Amino acid sequence: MADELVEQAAVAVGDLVALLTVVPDFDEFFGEFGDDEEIDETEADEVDDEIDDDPLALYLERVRAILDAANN
Amino acid sequence: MTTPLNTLDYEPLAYDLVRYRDVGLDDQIWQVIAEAISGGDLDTFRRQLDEGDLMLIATFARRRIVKARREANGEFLHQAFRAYALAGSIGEAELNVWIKGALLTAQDIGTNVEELFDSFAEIAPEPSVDNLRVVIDALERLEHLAQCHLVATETSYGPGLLNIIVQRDAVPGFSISAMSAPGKVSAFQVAFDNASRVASVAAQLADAFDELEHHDTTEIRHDQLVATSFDVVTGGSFLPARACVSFHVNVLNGPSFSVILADVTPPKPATPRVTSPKWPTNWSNKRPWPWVTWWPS
Repeated sequence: MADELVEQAAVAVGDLVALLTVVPDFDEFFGEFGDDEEIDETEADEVDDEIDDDPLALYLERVRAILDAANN
Repeated sequence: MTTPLNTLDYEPLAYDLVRYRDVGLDDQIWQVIAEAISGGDLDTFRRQLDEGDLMLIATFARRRIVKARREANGEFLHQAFRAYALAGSIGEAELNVWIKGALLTAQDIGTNVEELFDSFAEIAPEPSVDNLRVVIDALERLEHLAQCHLVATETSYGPGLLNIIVQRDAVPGFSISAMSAPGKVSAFQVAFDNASRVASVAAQLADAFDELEHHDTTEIRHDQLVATSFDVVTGGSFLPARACVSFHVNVLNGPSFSVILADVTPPKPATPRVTSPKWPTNWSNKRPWPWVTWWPS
């Protein structure tokens, strides 16, 4: 269930586990668009295109390198 | 009216007592405290302290306790106790964690505890003096930092201290020795194995994020591994770990995120039910853990 609400990524090396979790933008969840506000579908698609669906990916190699070093 | 402390504020990383680093503000705060004490009108000074000032004084005192441990110098403990005394009232948590930790540190580095008490009692209000007397009289029952919910850490920054979180919650099946009296909420301390490398590795991780442009980390804190983050079935809300810490990474031009680092030495299986108990190198939180059936429920 947590996966559906927040972006997470984990790296495990040996006995060490690093879990990265994007801090949810609650304005985006609840406040940015009111119920009565109509959203232009084209605009919504553009917003979706701009959202990085894997914002943690660029950090994982760095995290793994540090955990690897700690295990050697 | 405000005090001169009102204009002072620590940088976020000054709160990190695992990655302890000297900051000039400590000496500046001590100067204000020392001048207030020598000024004599302590009641007026105390009335002017707001919540931010009290937090600043507590942070100063904690940092001085860590510095005393690092440099085996009792003078910094005296400064911490004078700061607490100037603040006036000391909260239960501060008393049970940091004051007790300071007294144990005093014993470790050969600082006279009674002299610390005198240093405090000279300026503190009577109720606070009485509270400290009780703690000192019971000092012989204190043997190690864990009793103060503190863990001594060792990282590339040198010695530090980590405040261990204490959960107050009903814990079905938890050891009866850790339960409080019937009718009260039970309390238990979340484990932190001192032998774990977690604090040291977390410091390296946090430093690596700090090196990135537009990335700033917060202090390293004790934490727990939340079970719902993983595709596992457990008997509780958290996964067992030898040690676990976390910090936040604030990103200026992207989503900010938290980092939790845990040492999760998997228990050895009595009867293997999977072919390989080895932690998979390409493991991710999307996949079930192969030894999930071995986690204690």
